[in-house]
Amino acid sequence: MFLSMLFVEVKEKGLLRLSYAVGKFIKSQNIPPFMEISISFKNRDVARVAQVAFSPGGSVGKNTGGGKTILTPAYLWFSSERVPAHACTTYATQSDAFILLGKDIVIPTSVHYPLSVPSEFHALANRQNLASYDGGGVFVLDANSKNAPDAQIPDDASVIALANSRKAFSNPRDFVELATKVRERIGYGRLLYAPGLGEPSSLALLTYSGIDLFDSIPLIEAARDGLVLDTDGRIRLSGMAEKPCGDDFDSILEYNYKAAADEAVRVRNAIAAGTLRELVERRVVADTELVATLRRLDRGSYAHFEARCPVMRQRLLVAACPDSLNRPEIERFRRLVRERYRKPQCARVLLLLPCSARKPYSKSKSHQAFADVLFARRDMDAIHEVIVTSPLGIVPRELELAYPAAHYDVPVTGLWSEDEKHMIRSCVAAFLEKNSYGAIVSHLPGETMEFLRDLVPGAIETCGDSPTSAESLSRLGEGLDNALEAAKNAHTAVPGAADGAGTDSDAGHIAGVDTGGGAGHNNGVGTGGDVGCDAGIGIGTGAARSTRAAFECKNREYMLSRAVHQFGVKAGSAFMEGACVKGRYPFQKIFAKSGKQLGMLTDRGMISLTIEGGERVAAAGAYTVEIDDFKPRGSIFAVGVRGASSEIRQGDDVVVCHAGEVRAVGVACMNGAEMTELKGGEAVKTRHKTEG
Amino acid sequence: MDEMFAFCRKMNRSFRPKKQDPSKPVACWSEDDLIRDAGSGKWAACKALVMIFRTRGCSWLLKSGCTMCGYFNDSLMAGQEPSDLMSQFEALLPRYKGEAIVKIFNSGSFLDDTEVAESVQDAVVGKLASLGEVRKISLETRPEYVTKERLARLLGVIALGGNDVNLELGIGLESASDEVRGRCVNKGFAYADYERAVSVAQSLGVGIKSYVLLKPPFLTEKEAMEDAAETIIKASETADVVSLNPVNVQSNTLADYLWKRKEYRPAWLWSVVEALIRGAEHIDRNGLDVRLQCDPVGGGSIRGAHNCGTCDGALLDAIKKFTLTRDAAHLKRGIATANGCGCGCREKWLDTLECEGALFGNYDVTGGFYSKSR
Repeated sequence: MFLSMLFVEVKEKGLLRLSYAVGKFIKSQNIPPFMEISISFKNRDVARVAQVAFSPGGSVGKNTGGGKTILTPAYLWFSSERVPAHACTTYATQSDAFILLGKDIVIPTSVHYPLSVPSEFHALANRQNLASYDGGGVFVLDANSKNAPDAQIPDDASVIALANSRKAFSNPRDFVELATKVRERIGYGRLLYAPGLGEPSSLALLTYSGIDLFDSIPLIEAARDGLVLDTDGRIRLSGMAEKPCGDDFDSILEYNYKAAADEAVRVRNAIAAGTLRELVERRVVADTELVATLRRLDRGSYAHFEARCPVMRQRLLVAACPDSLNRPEIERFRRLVRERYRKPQCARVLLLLPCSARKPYSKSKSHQAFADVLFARRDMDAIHEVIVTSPLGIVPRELELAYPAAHYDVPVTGLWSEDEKHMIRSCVAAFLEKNSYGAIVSHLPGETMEFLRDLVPGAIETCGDSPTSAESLSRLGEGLDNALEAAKNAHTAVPGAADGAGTDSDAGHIAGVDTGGGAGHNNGVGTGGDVGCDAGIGIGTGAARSTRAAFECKNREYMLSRAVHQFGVKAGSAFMEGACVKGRYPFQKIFAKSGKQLGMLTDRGMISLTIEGGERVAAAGAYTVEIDDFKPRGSIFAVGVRGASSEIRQGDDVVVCHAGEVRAVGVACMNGAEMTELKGGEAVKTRHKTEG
Repeated sequence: MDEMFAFCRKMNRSFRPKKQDPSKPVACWSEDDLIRDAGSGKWAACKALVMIFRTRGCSWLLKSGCTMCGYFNDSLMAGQEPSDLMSQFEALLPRYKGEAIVKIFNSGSFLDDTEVAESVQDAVVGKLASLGEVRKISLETRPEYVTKERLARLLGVIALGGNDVNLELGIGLESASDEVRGRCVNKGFAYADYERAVSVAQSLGVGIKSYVLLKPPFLTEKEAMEDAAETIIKASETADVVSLNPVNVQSNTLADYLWKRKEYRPAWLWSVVEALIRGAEHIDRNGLDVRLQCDPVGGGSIRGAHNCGTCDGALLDAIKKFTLTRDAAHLKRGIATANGCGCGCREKWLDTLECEGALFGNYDVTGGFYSKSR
């Protein structure tokens, strides 16, 4: 296991006793003094797809050539006379150059202790490995989850081999803790190699956990034990009714090699497509240990994975299993609705609606039928639609375009699991605690109301056997009219500005609300003065109201919701200060009073900033990327990034600044910490740049 | 290595010793052995009586202790009167049935007078030497207790008996490498200490039996096997007998701690055989008059050196035959027999030798996901 330490000791004495070095890898050849491993990042998801060029060293005078390029996750292939790796060269695809362990990449001899011994041993090994580091770019890290945060790593090491990876993986809790802490420690820019891991069934999960490099040793071990590996797990060949390959070692090994190489391609494709999580969920059900590991990842390391999870993607989010409920982006959506979200001021009646299979909801037949009913109401703009759904909990209508609300696909059965019921109940309860309405109408089917009824006492229930039946729709119309009337009475009973405080007491921290004047939209309700959008007519005052003005005001408040959802309460409110919204949903433009455009909502569900909009967000101190003093021409690369707001995620709209001056706006290609740390890779795809 | 010193100390302290009777010995049995004829120099079969005394415990154990040694489980870990030891000896003496060799083990150092009082040392050795049929008395000790004075005194006691009795000291060299002995065994002495003890003993005509350890914790199978083979070769230069001892997992040791957590696997019998073959070939090639022997404690069981369970018997049999004949051909025949059973585990062992170093972790023993199949 670790006598490799002798190598260190003996080398100091000038005696190179290679028999003590790690096996044949070192023994068989000169140790390349320097190995160049350059890593560039192409595509990003929860995991990295790194393009790695290995330029192995070699004996002096030998032409090292151009090296090899691989995409991660990748296998490092073990090869010896007894167990040659040549069989799997057949499966090397163009994106998977064939990297031989010990030849193309040399893992230095290192000290390590078994995982279960006290932390002092690991710290000792870490110190020794650091002292004996040969500058070859590969560093063996001995750490347990306790001392991983303090582990020392050479600055120029670009591949970190994690000792005891396999032992750690045998315990889901330990593994998750170790893998995430090690990843936090080594940062975004290095590759993590897990020696002895990489069976096809666990490859996707391990990649999702942050591991980039694997080796073929488990494939050899399994073949020796007569075990056939594929994405379903490890299956004893002798017990199979129909055998997929010959029963000799070589045949099984070849089968395992192919299964592994094929799965690596699938994982890389999934990363490139942004669907790794879906692949992971399909794979983990092969083994309870894998499921346990995924659950630990979701529950125990939410912050770690949320930071690495894009805020936007165009693919369908398939929420096919119970574990989908805890995907980072889904949990993030629920948290944002709970923490950042405030209902629009103009909303007086809450309408709970069932979700639809078609996304965004408003494109579905059922929601178009609901819209027709709403449209016929005189005060339709006072009705706030909130969709009750799994796995997102609740989706206010104005956020229906946001990821993943417009992108998820769940099995539709009309039946709720206990987990879903619990999750939805807690979302609804938290929502109603923060946002109050004059009246509530529920158009949810009976089986949903069954477990929600106690949370919405007094709600007018309008759904019959089917939400879209003529009877249900007509009841919906009546219910809404009654609710609007009741809400109006509620307002008349408590006249004036009390409405703002009464219905949305928590909203004080939304910039503009407490300032009173100027920011028309926030104090528009109930004051009856010269407020609201440029129409100058208040809403909810009972005075003669313009439907158009109410409509515009609603548009603006809904946009404020989106801005707050996207940029946070402070920056979102600053962005919308005095702004108005024009255009036909979903292609709406946001304008400042001056007439300058601040941004635009598109069907990608996010607000795209203009330079002017960016200035507002940057002034509020959020979603800002600080760059060196240069005029951006194309994309911003990480090397030019000095710092970035920690809340930035891949896919976010960000403002590129230098010393307080906005230079560009665009879409982040990596998260804030990552673009700050990395020295390469595209950080921001710019949309607009300042002139000059 | 302070970490190891402290960890072994903690391990040995954390168990509660069983209540032991200080006047009852641990065990006693008679076994087959070889003895060299003083005249012809030829090795001949004989019987040996093994007496295992219960003492206070090894002096090193009381400081820290070795990573694999659990003999302290039989020790008192408390004071003991010399009379208790004498009672043990008197109880065992009737078991003597004319064996040519008597081996006295006390799970510590016989020459350490804080463990075995001088009076007891003298009485035991003197009595055995006077029996007439005893031709060799074998004792065990750590090297620091080997001094000219102590040995001369014991030789004097033997001479009093008037018989031609050889004295042999068993010393646990474990590994010729100070690194392995220090960091993997936590043995607490250096190779130089061993060398000194050997030269002191040999200057007085006292024989040396050198114990070589196979696979202490923290080594890969390959490292362990190669280290054992090299140690056998090095020990053969001076010792009269070299005994290869594969680690068996004894309770309350560091090896046990790791084994229970699936982070240690005792050596494969294949490694035992391989190390013996390498050693025997060296001995034969250089015409050394040293006896290489091996009696794997717990061989074939999960806590001892073992293979797959199918071929273990064939190899254990070969090792036994080799030990009693010094003929390495038995080992090679054993390999062929074991291979012939079709278990295929030699290939798995060869994989282990090749791959384990690249794993930076254990081969074959991890548990959890890696122990499952359908």
